Amino acid sequence: MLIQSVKKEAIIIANDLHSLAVLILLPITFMVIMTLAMGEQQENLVKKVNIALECESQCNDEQQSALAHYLKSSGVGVNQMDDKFDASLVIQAGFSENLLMRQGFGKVALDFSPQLSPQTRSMILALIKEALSKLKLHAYMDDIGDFDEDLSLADKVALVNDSASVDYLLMQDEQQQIFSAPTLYSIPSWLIFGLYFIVLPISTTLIKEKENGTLLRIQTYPISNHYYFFNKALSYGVVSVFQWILLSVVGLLCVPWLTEQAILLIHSPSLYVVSGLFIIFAAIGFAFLLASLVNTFEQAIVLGGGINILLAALSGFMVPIDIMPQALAKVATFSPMYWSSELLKQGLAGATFTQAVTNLLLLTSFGSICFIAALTIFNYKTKRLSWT
Amino acid sequence: MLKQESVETSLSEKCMSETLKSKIIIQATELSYKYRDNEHFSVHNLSLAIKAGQCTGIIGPNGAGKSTTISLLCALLTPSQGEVNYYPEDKNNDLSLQENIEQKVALIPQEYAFYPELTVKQNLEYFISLSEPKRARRQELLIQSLAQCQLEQVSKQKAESLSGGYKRRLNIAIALSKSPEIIFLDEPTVGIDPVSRQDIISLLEQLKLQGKTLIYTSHMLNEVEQLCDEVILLEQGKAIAVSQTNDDNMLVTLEFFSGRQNYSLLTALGVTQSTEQTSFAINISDTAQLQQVFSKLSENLAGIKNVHFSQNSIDQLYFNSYKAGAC
Repeated sequence: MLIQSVKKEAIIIANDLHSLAVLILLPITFMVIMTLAMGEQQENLVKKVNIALECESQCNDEQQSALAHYLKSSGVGVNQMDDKFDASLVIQAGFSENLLMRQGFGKVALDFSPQLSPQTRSMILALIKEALSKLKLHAYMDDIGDFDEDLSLADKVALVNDSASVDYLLMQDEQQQIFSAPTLYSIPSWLIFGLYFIVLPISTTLIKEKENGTLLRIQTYPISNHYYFFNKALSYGVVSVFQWILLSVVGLLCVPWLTEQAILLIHSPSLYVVSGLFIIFAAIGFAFLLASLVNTFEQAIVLGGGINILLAALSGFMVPIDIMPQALAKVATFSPMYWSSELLKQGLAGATFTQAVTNLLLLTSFGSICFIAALTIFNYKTKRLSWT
Repeated sequence: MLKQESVETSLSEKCMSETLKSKIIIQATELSYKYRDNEHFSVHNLSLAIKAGQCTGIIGPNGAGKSTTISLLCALLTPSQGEVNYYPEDKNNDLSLQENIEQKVALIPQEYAFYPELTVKQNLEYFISLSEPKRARRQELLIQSLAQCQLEQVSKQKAESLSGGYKRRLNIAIALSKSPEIIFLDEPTVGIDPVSRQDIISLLEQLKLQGKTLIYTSHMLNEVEQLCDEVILLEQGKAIAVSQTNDDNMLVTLEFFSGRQNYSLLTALGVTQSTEQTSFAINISDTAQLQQVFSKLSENLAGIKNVHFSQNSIDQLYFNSYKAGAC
């Protein structure tokens, strides 16, 4: 019966374009878009920034040129005021004196383009401060005679950049470097999102079975409600395993290739596989709970789809949790989608089972509660079925 | 057209079904059921006995309690009062009500109760797998039900692409694939063309010949008359008339100048009747009974205004019964 049941559910899903779209196409599309967006934010955004640099009066040409060099060395473009710019820096009179002596305030006027987001403004400000710090070091080294007289400006800039470098002080292990890959945030998140969307095909099949009398007909077969329910859940579980494998292959191999990111390696394959099974258990349980609650297709779309999108937003899939307000970030830690994505990230990053046990237990408890509640509601509703 | 080989059922099969017909297969005793949000009983003190191998029609207007009665008979609902027994006369049958239903009963709802995305064969395979664990037997049942409903040619077609007639056949084939003894049918010919309808009726007639017990609800009274051996008319959850469709009774409509004392007289004579003020429709089985009725009426100086003779039919029984109910 299980084979026939799996076959039946797989054929029904394969014939339903909407189900295929939400289970496969939607998560893949989100994986690509969000990886591109996050990759852009981390690497390419700086390259796109243009800063206009000008001197109001009585400028120290070397200082102005050095500042331009330091800005350029952090990756931003430096132009004249005539060009299109994201931020403008106008060096005012008395800047040179003020640089080392701290006499007065506001000797550099900073202005941003109104289109810039708050995050980009913060990033540009940090880059400008870094460049000004280097310029201050430049002025200091010049003042105490650290520069040879025959050094060119480029050599001086190189010397200051080298002196200001702090890279040698930081130690980053391999696991930390994995977390800097944008794919590690986007791929697991949207893979989970797709898995939880199994709620739509489950709901629509249950509603159809109830409406067209199939469920009524099945009541006269020698199978209990429990058996039928768990057989159906197991069938969807098998379908979800195939979905998970497909999305993992696409997410870990194809999306990084398509978005020019490094391929994601699974550093703890056994944890990754076990995580997948626990996540599917929780997702199917949750889907059956929602499916047992709804009575119409409209309710299924609003409740099933709506709750999934809300959970995805809360779990940091759309806006990273670290930039959420603290209260909202706290709420996210109660979301099953958050536990699921954290678990998958742990599998990818090479965590041990001991490190993942909390998320595994949370998902097991959540899935079990959902299944018990769903079966109770399903039994209650099935007993009220009658010949119409 | 459906296969003729089954129509030419062997005599032994026919004899067997005749023997079976005397046995009561489902007995309902004083069944009552009231829905939670309803003030009145949907079924009230309903007792009926369904005989093996017969086709029993349950008819009545919308809201008469047909659906509730069938739901109670197949244990989809639990009665508020009364009970349903399967095989009450069979002492060897020690199965519970639910077990009897699971093993012997199939439902054919009015809707297409199957999966439109699956092919005919896949649908049958799935439903057979719900009741039959053995692979060889499953294959046997598949071939048998495809053949019985003449679905072999369309077995690889998706159910959603079938014509209305074939969809109805598939609906029936799924029920037959369970090898049931008792089949509940809800308007199995609704929404199909006359040729397909006749095919389905022929198929159901074959099932009767094979000794299957059919319980049939429909608003198509001519179909009910053609198929059913017995018809139960329901009104407000009660059986207001039970009729054998194969009797040769004559329906005599007597119109009097006045009504009340003649009503009592006809009741005393024991003729089945329905009434409408001064007009009475009565069932007469032979001419001797007719003579007896007329002589009694004449003795009692009943003023007969008009007499109309007609062959009894389900249509007349239906309308006369509800007219009587309206009085």
